[in-house]
Amino acid sequence: MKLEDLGVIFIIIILPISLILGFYIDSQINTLNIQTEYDRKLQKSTADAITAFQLNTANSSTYDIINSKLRDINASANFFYTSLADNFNLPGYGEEQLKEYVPALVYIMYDGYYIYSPFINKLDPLDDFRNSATYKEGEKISGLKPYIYYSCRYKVGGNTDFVITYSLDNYIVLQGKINGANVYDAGYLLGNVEYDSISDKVKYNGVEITRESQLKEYIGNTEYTYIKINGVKYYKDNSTGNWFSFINGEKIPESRKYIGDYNDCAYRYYKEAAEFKDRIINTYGLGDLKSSNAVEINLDGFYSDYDIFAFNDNGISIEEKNSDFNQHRLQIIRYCIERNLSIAIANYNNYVDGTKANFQMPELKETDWDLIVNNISLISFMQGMSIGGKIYNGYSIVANTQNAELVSQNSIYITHNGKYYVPNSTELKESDADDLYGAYNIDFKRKSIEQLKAGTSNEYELIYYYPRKELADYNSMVMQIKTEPYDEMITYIKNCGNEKLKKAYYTALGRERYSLYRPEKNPETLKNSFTE
Amino acid sequence: MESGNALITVVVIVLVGGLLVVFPMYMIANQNDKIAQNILATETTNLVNDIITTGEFTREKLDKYDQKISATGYAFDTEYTIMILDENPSKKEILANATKIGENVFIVVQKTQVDELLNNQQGKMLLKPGDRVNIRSTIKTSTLSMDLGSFLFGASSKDIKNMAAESSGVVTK
Repeated sequence: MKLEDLGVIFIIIILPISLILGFYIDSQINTLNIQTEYDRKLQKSTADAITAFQLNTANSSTYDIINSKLRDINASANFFYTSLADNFNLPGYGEEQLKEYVPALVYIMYDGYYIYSPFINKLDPLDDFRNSATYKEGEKISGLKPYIYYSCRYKVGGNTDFVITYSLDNYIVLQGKINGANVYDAGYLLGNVEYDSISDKVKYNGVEITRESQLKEYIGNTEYTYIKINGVKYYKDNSTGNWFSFINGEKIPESRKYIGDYNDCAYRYYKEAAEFKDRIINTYGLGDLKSSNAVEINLDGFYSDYDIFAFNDNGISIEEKNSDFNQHRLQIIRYCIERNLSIAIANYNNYVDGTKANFQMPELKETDWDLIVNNISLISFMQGMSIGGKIYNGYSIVANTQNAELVSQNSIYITHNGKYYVPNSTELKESDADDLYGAYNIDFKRKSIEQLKAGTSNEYELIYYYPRKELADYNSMVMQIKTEPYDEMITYIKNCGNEKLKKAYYTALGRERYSLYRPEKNPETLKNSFTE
Repeated sequence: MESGNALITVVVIVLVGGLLVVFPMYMIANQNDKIAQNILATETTNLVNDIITTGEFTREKLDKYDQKISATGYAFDTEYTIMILDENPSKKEILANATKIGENVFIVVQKTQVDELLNNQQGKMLLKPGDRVNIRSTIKTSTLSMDLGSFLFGASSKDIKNMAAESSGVVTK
């Protein structure tokens, strides 16, 4: 055989193989590129949606109304789909078509979560069955499913059978039968808190928490005294002495006159936490409640048996992240989300008719769970789109730390000398100043209102303002330098050695947490307790 | 006549040798480059996503990223830039005139400055919502595919495809 013949035979055999392998590798690479691109688009849309939620809640003045939160979440979900359609910008992938590929949106909230997904509409006998009705019988529509709490049932003997509802921080709700008695109680769990009923003094980590002077912030160019009750701020009109709230740029008069000379929300927070701790240990006898007492929940593979309410265990306080309570809390939250989400996504297969994909919940990484169980966040799933070599199955998790739902340990900034700092700023650690004051991070965000133009009686103009006038410290806030390393803010503050900084931080954390909206609290009773 | 046959034989041998050796080598090396480019682009995007969702820029993440892209068999130069949001100018403008929205500015921190900040802060830099991160990696040397391509097709250095990937994002947490 001649050499040229060998060459020709080689080319005939090798060339097609090389071409086919080349095409195959190219298609795999294209598939991966499309997958990466879809991941980025999904992540951008999720970030847009959570930002919309943040803006709505930060500017909401009707936070004591449950519908306000539902409205904000629905708006955020609608924005997600709009943003997704914009990001894709492909023929055939409009908003309605893309909904087919999103089995669920999960809004991780303070003490539970919402799943936004499609469902088949079922009308009640009294509903409108006409063809002209907005929602028809058997129609597939998307909406929020009922709120699901992070709750777990516990049973001890025959007399104790109750449920604990957890939250993203150390707030819990107890409901059920404890030692034969019906109980409905709620509160924050704090380890080193003491209340002396004789002297009426409360201490946390050795720092006495006192009533503080009146709170002030700006609306527009005018500074007002205010009080925040159950998530709503009430301002005092200095000229008339009357109080009002601010809703959609409009002053809504308030019939009550609240205490304006001082603010004792922080004091109440720590005092009630001390009383709650006493009830848990002494009244309810739950000091020995173990994780193995949990029922109807599969914790196999998780951390082994331990006391849930160990307020101080080997120097670790119950509110710290390494406490047994916190580990158990994280397990419960994760279990609740995983179980219901798997069911919701698997059931989605019953609702789709345009796609042929089999929807399944993807496995989330440990770092993803760490983000979810500690922050208000949005998880979005997208599955079923053909990306060449396979079917796309992706998800995105975006957390938000600047919203009105959760006051985390990192939500407090410290003001000093016209600037605001992160609490672990080196300058603050060494400071002996008396003007250290803690404030909520969302109070430093820009807002806008429409107000009457100067010199006119019916012309309005849009103005921008900051509720607080302090500027961000360049070192610790802008550049994030000259800060002390820390693992957990509450532990850092406990060991920082600066008593004034401790008091400012603890007071702010207590005040802001006490002022948050809580559905368990009766708003009228709460308002009455703050009335002069 | 015989010398003519010998010349043709030599030419054929050279051509066949080229076909049998050089072209397959070039095609395989080219496929290898495409795979490495894809890995580089994916890992760069994943790193930026990780940073913007967690709000943490750490030495550990950079080292893991370096390991992954080095596993392609090539060496890369990685440049990173952080644009830190400064809202103070906007605030000052609004305080002076409430009808003006004011403009935020960004403080640009380049790679050497980021390295210094990471060294000073135990390898971790915390970012806040609104900060922007940009990461770009470029191959240090030319690959076999690039060399063979320039040899075979006489391509100039401008025509040689460079292996690089870039990704950027805005911190959301």
